[in-house]
Amino acid sequence: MTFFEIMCANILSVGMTAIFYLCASLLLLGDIPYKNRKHYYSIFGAGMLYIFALSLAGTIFFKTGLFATPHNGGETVFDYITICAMMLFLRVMYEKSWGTYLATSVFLHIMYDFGWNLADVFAPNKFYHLEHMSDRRQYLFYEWVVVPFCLFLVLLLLYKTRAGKLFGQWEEQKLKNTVLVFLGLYPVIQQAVQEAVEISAKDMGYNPATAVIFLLIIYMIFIYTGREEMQQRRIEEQNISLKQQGAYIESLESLQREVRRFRHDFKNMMSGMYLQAEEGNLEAIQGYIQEMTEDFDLQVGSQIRLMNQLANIRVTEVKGLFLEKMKIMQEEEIRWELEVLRPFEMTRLRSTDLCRCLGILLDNAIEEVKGREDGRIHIMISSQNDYTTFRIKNTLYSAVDFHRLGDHGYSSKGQGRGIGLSNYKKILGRYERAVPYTTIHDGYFIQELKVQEG
Amino acid sequence: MLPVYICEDEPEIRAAQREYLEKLILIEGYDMKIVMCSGRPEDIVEAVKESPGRGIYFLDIELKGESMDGFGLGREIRKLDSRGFLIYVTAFQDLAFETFRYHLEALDYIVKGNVRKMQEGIRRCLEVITERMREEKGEEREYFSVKVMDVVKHIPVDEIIFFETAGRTHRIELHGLHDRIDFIGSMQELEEKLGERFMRVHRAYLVNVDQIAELDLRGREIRMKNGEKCIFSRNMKGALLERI
Repeated sequence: MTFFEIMCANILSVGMTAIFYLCASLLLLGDIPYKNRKHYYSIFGAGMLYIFALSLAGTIFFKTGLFATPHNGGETVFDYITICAMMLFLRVMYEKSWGTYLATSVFLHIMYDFGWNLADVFAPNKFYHLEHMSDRRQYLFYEWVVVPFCLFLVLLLLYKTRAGKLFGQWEEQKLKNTVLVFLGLYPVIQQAVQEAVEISAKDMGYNPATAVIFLLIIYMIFIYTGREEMQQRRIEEQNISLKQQGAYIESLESLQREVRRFRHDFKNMMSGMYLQAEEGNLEAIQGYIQEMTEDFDLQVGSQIRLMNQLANIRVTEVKGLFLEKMKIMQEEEIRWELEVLRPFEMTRLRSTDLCRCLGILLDNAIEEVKGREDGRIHIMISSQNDYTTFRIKNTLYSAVDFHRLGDHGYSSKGQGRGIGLSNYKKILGRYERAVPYTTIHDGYFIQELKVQEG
Repeated sequence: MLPVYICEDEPEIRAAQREYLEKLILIEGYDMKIVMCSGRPEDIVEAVKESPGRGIYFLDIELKGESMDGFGLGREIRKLDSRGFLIYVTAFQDLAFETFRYHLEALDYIVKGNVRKMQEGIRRCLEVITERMREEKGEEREYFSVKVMDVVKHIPVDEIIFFETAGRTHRIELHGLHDRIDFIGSMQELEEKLGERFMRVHRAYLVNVDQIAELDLRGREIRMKNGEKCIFSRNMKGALLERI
């Protein structure tokens, strides 16, 4: 066959593979972000480039006889080329870390091998004599009907088992390097396992057992790391709830102190009122009653209110963060208020990212009002329909060079600072549906973070 | 004339509010009139629907046994009357006023339970409203409104320095004198909407011409009045020099 013929055949089969990869990555990683025409164009272009480049590489490998190197060396190298190309393609589609790209590519590759092996079950005689018409027909049937069908079955399997969800969870807990290295070695390990399993299969290049074994191992890693993560989470949650209980007890104690003080005042007022009543001075009594209710609201009500608001934060990590900052603010004697009108149950942002963002904003606010008599911090979390708004507002004392805000290393608080806000921007840059907003209004510095949940 | 609406589920307080408001309108000669006074939020919504226009609303937050609370009612009213004055009447404990102000642009709140204070609050609110109406008459500042998810922000056009696109997303960053806003939009639409005063000096920048301080022709950089910098493309040089 000529170079051109092989190239054409390769383009067809790589095209099929590419479609499989595309569908499978959609199943694993979910929707493509940034649905605009420009992005679609670039995905399409990247896909075309992918198909062309891989076909070309395959043709060259075939023509130069690289595929025939011992221990399937050529094929292993080609696998790596495929994986790298896939990673680049995923990079065009999604905005994730390189670790995720690698894991996804290898996983897709394994699924693809799995599909192929499945197809092998239907075609027991692997060698076709293409010069015979019947064999050629069989071969074509196998290549263009059985294989696509099996790949489709794999996709169905991915869809039905909701692999995307599991994959998402796994991805969320920061991929560990060892796992990544293991995944990256897949083509090599596959070959090694294969040779161990079946010495005679050395030159043939595939064995259903290898992909299955590898799949099992990966599954085990999934389960293992998932469980570890869950345990960690549980411990963290317990810590937070302990902290919460501590804060709760503290506030109860202070409430009790207030009540005791109030009781003292109350007695005095009562005796005062009694005297006024004896004289029949209604106006003075009214005044007394009013004063008393106000005092009660001010002294006791505010504590109760704060606890009510805190109870509305249902995301444990965020609650933990607030409890921690609450302590700092109490120590610094900062006046602060929290408003959570409706229960805040969940958000699209990864909770570690959200906590880092809120932590940065809160730290900045605390830094600004620390040691000031009239300094105030107001925090609002508002979940409305499909949107969540986080808003942190503090009295502003230093002049902010507004346009440099968020530049790396700039801070209104002097040298060696200003990493916070630039980090904040960087984190938000990773999310399509989270936007920051900053403004100065009436002597307050206001930072907002809005997240679209729907 | 501004219509005044009261929604309060406790009859005594409702009556007290009404009485005091009527008295105040009469004494001060305000151009206002109480048109609806009810404990049911639906009544208020109906009344606003019947005679749309700017109004003053005194709303209780906790409406016991009703289909919506004060917040929900505020939402409904805002749909019909975007410029009306919302005043919330509340007991101290359930107050989350910043949230109300944020989502509903509520004007103020009044603490009930203390008649003297409530009256004081009502008086203060009416004063603020008349003051604001007077100010609005004099002001003819142009505002740029932009929808950021579920809220709309208004920024005076003369305070905008420039717009910048960020990366491959459809996100645009507004650089203002006192604001920094990220939103989804298209530069081309902005360019058409804002007209002559703004100039597309670069693929990624739409600049307020009035805010330009100086040009660095060699570095192809514009320095804005607030010190910010942005670049311009080569073929815009002539047009820029012409404009400043």
